[in-house]
Amino acid sequence: MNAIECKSVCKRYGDFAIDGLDLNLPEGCVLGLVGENGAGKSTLMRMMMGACRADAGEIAVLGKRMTAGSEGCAIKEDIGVVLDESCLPKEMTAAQTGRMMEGIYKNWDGAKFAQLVKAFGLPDKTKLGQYSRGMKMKLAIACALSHNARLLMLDEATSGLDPIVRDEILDILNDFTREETHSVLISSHIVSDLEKICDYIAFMHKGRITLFEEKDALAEKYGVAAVSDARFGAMDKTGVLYAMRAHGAVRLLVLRDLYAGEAQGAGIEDIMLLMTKGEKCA
Amino acid sequence: MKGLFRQSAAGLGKTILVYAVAVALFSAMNAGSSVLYFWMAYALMVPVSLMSQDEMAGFDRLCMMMSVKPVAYVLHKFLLAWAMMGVALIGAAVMGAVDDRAPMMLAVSLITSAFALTLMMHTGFHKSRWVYLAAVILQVVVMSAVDSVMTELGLTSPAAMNAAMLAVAVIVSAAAVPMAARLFERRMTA
Amino acid sequence: MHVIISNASGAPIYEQIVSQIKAAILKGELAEGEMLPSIRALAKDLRISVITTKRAYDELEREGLIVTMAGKGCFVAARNPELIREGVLREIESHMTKIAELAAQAGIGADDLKNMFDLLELGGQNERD
Repeated sequence: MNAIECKSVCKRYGDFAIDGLDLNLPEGCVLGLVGENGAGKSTLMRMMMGACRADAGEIAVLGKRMTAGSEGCAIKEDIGVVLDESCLPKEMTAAQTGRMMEGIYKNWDGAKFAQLVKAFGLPDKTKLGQYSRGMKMKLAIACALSHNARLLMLDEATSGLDPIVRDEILDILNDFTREETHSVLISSHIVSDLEKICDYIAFMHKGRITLFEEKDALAEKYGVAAVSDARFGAMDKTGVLYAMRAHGAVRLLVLRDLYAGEAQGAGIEDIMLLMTKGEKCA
Repeated sequence: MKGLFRQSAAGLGKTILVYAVAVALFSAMNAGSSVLYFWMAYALMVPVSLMSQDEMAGFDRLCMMMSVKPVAYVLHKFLLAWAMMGVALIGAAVMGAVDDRAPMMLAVSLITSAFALTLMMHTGFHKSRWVYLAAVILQVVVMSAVDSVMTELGLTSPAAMNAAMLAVAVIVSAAAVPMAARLFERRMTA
Repeated sequence: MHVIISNASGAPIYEQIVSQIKAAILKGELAEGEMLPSIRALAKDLRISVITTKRAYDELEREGLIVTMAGKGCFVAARNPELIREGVLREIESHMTKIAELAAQAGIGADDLKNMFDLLELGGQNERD
């Protein structure tokens, strides 16, 4: 089963458009959504969260059709969301936030929340307005994990945090997916985070999914190579996907199976950069 | 909706204080039935300032992603407004400022609040701060106009007229909630 | 069982898992019938992808080193020593064929080859001592 299924989803805002997007997140997996700012990651995720109407297409979450507004509310019980800002009221303490959530989610687990707040080292009596960004994020994650959600969606949740807190958060997500029915969708432009945790990577560019690949297969399938400008003109371009001129050389993104020359395994960052800024070759 | 009330209760502290101070100030400067205008007019301040807090934190956005129905979010703000009008009535009564024109005042207040809240749910607080101000001013103006016209004509408000106006106000308020919810949902999920 | 994943080594992660588990089995660190960690548990412990771990287990199963029992987990397969020996012999034979071809190309005689092998053996023994 797929935890999330998008079929020909469309959404248009002025010049920006998501046009017929397909994307699946298999149950039990972690899918990382990468892309530059403005690629449409947040819009797509808001549609999956049921907080934004799609113009056309179908989105199914945990096997049920997701629609924005009131109808999607039943599925939202099973989804934990964490946004780039915690969005929790500043006037409340962690304990008050817990009591509020108890009144919002049917399956709220107060004991689990208290335990997570303690484990994350969050002060109980300080108002959220005084929390650091990392603390707010951890509290938002504690909320997302305390109502028996089967799917977590995190939109840029690790941006602006220091490496230590980010690593802690990745550990929490890693543990969450020990359960076979638990899935995670995480968007970020911090590629190294996704490299650490994801099973699949989807790369979004200008409202389209330009790449969907099993993460560990990326380095096997895609390679980067550098050749001189002169050589690039004459060479056999079989297997060369994108080329980018920089500092007198040409950097290539290649399919390692087809490309004849030497190539190194590509990281997500290489792929993202070359796909975004490079020229398409084949 | 229980969760939303708990959130409001936590966020209310400062607002209630400002409300109390404003009303106390106006009450001290005025006497008689005009005290009720201020109690009533400022009742709207509570849900509106909570709305602005929500918007600033992005909590309204988060609500759409949590299992909070848009209608629950909107209704809870209306309920707060109505509850504050109740508080206003009681407060003014304690100060001896409630006379037989009070039902009329309540009706005016209910109707202006319904329009103001619906409009604000449609556009969001930050785009329509002026709506709130306009509503407060409108309320005071209408109430005092009604008040002075009646005094001049020597009319004490007849029970039948009171009942009719209140009935209209209740219908308008009840109709405003689903309307505001629809507008709110449309804005938040755009 | 300890699997250590190295990002610096160029080998794909699933290959690293396969070769380390294989070595553990051949050295006897993992006994016949012993249960392996579940795919998901191993993936999460190593902080690697579930899919990659599954791929490694599939590979081990194909080589007959482990067996999967539905609903129970993965176990080290019962080993047939004859079968393993046969496999090793087949591998040696193919290497030898290559040696013979190379030797023929350069006109190296069988005696020279034997000497080379004796030297290798000697070196290996010294290393072991």
